[in-house]
Amino acid sequence: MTSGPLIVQSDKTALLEVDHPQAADARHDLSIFAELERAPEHIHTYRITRLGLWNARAAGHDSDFVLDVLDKYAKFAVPAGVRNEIVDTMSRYGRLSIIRGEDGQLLLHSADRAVLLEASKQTKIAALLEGSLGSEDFVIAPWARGQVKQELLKLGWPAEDFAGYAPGTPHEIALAEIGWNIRDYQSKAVEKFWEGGSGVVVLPCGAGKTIVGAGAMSVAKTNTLILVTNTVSARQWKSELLKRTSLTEDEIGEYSGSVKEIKPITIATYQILTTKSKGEFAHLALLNANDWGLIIYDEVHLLPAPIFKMTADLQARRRLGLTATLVREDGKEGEVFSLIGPKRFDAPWKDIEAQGYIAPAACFEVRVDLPDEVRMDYAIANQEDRYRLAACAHAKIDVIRSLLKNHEGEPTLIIGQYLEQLHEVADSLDVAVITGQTPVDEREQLFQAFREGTLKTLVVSKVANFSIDLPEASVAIQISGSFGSRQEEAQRLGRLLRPKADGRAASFYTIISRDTVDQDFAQNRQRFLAEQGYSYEILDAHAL
Amino acid sequence: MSELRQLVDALRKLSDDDLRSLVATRLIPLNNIEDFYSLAEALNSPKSYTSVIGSLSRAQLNSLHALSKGEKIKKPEFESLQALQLVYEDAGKQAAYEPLLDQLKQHKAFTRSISIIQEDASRFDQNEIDRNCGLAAFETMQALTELIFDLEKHLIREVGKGGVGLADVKRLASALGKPNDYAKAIFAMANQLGLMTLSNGRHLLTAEAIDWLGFDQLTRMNVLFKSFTDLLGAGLAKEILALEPGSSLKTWLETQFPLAENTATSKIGLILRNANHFGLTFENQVSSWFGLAVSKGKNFESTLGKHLPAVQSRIILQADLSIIAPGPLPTKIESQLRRFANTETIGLASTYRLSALSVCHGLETGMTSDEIAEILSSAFGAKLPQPVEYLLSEVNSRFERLVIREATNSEHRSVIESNDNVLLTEIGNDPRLRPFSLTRPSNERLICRFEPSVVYFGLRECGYLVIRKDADGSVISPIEASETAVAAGVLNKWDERIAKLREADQSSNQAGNDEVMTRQVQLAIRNKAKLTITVNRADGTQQVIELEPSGIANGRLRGLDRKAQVERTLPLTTIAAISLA
Repeated sequence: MTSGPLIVQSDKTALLEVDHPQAADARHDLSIFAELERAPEHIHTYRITRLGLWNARAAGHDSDFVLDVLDKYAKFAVPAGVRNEIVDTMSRYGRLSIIRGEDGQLLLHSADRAVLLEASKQTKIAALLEGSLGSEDFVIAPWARGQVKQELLKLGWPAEDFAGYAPGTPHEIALAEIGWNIRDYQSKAVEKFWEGGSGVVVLPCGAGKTIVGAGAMSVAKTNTLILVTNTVSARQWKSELLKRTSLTEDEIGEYSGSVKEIKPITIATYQILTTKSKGEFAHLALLNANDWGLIIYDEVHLLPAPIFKMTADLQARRRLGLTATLVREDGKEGEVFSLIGPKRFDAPWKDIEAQGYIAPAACFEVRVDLPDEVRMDYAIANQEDRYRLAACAHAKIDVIRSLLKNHEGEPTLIIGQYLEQLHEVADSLDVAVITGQTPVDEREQLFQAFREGTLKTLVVSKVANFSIDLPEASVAIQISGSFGSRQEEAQRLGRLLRPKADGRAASFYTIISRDTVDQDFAQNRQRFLAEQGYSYEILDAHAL
Repeated sequence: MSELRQLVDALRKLSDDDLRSLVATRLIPLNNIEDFYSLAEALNSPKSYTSVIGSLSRAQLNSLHALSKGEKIKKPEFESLQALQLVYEDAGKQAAYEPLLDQLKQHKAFTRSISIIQEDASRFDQNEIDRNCGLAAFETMQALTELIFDLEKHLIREVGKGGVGLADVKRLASALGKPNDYAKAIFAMANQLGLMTLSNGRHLLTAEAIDWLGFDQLTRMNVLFKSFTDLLGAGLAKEILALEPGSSLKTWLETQFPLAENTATSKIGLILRNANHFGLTFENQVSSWFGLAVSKGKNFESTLGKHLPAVQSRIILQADLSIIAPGPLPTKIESQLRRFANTETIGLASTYRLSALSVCHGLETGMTSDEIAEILSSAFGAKLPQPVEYLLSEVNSRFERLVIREATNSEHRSVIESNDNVLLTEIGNDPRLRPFSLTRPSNERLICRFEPSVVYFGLRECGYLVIRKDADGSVISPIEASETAVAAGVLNKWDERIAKLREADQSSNQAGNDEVMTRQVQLAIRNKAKLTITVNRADGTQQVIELEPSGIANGRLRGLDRKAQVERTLPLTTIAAISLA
């Protein structure tokens, strides 16, 4: 027992006191086998997961190493249950492997006959195998590599994958570091991804995930398919790649609703891949249209269900997932890990902020008192109507006015969920509005005017939640949202986090109706950011 | 004399200490025991004998074997069985209770040949065993404390016979970061320790639970160890001292108790489980302080104390309203903190969270928002984060806005009052509260047919900052409410329970009590025992008859008089006295 910074709990969480002198060393060692779950201001929470322990084994660390790290930094004795589970879990890794047979077929291999039989007799796994080959191998169906890995992971016998990745058609790509340099954390993320083969990189909004993607491409030097959330984002990717790499306009294609180009580097939207015609996915051929050596999934937390299925068939290709908020309200984070790969790199938002790579932000929750007649409407309303009533309260408009006055001259986004409310606000304040109904060209013009400063205020719907680069926006006023969505909250704050030219901090306001479900949802929405160390100051609307 | 009667007489003669020891070693919960008859019935049940058989030593089993064959056994051996109320002496003849022998006969032999694989103690690291024992003891104390606060803040209903609902088990398991089975074991342990009890289908705190909150870690450990030695019984507690640190308690018990079944409900199972939970053993390997703790040695505190996590007096307060205790807190701070903060996880480091409801709970217990702020800032050692200050101030300004009182009108039992007409409308319209059938007699009031405590917990579950007030307008503290429940109907302290038992027994002996008479008859029917009945005859004389009762209905008792070879039907009004034969 030491007076270290770490408390290991019997539920396999480890709490790290960040102000402790040994905290930085402990964090470094912990990151090898534990997942960072929460990083508020004083205590960071790590979780020792099976996946984390198996990743550590894959990287060459054994259970003695893990226990030594915990003992070294633990404040109290490490609970016996945790010790036993670490030893047991790590001993399961590597007993099974996926290898290539002499004639190139995929084999599930193990020298431990009992483990091999246990795995092969599982109904779901048996369906993916094509019979045994000697006493130590089973042949895996050519298309089932991903599913086999996924099922083995669920069974608790993770397979080491030695079958390798398809190299893809070579294509020269290099970073063009002229007037800029890849940041340390970005190159570390690329390095960790490449070492691991496939996986997810988690970085805050505005911290340069595109550069990580470009960095990975410069290492892979192969044909690359990039999947993004929408056309605006696809164009931003293209422009960024042209600026940051040796790639030229001719080498990059867009595959979206409006353009269908397949080039060595192709940027496609999730929407086009999931578009159906006569009951079939019409553009599925894209996945095999070129000999891709790398597939990048932007905003991987938004991966639609059909893409999950398609991704299971792409296990022979390297896959990189990029996201700021690996939280899914449908709880499918696990599927992202098993199909794209485990989390390879993660950096707390506040760490990146401390390094000056994202703008500091102050968050505020402004509580508005509803007039009695509105409260009465709310009191007698059905449950399903209550959120809309509270979120769209007219009383919020005066608060928006006050906030705009307080931040006069600063580029401000007013973000909401309900179109009626957005138009009401836009009309009352006489500002432009962008919703899903706004044509792409008009959207781009308005965004451009905002970037250039000719438009100081913009009312936007959820179309601006993700992947929209508005570097100078420094104030956001959130007036309604998708109920308690934590990732939406974080992504909306993310619109403000590009460092400002004049170094000013960002301000993120959420206006909520007091004593309503609006307030309850706001609490849930704030959880992710609070876990990243952002604190919300609570203000009364009348005191603004 | 019937065996049941023998047993009742034997129980009456026991001292309070012996009675206490008996019910602890025979695992009889006193909560539902009304008098010595029902205690005797519980002790004489096959279920009770099944559980005690496993805890009988080889020598005791040999003695019972001899008794079953009509042989006489030596006095010390007889007394060791008599202390457990397994044998009796009737007119100088030694005998074992029949239901016990019936249970024993179900085993192929009273003694069985078993080979025990002795575990090699040397391969265990004693320091590691002690370290893990310390952690287990700490976790158990934390879990019991959490359960007490959970009972204070939630209405926990009885599910099944004395059980707890899955939702309540899950809530506790989630707070402890443990599986549901662990939480269930903690509920069972709290019952066994007398920290909770049942009343009107609800689990309630006992006076012992309130005492527990005031104890420091070592005093709490003493409570656990006392319960453990009670469970062992005096004889076993003495023999078990032979165990060396590092040796296996399980192996030792298996050697000593050939019929032991290590099942969840068996006594041996309970001994093993409690030893592991109470930090006396780790995975059945004996700790350094095992002997000291069982023999109530004075120095176990210093040995054990070294292996309990060191107490910290500092907390960490974060802007997301979470509070982290980076280690066990001093009892006083912990108790204060839990008055106004919800528990998120309990462990070596515990996480709490402030909410409007939790702060309101603190105010209801008599704290002020300034006191809460002072406790937080002095333990945190810095200025409170703004959201915390805002929350305290907001809850303070709304305290007493929504009040529940007991109704004076007999048609309904609770009145919900507020000056906020819209708030009452919202409550009245809340679909989650529909089962309460709230009605609105005036703008400032809602009425309900359920008792105030039920409505109070119902509203709190839905997030309303409601408080209870008594007829004088004083706020009822949730702690006082628990204590009142204890005083009103549930006796908890051992001494009080035993006194109550003796009192009930005396009143049951008084003649002319129809209820008592009916109970005696039902008891005799259930146990196939004979009754000695004194009947008033028409000529004014009395006749004593012995009857095997077969039923009681419509004011008449029916039964077989074997002596006269007739079936008798006696009007209850003619019976002057009745007792088990």
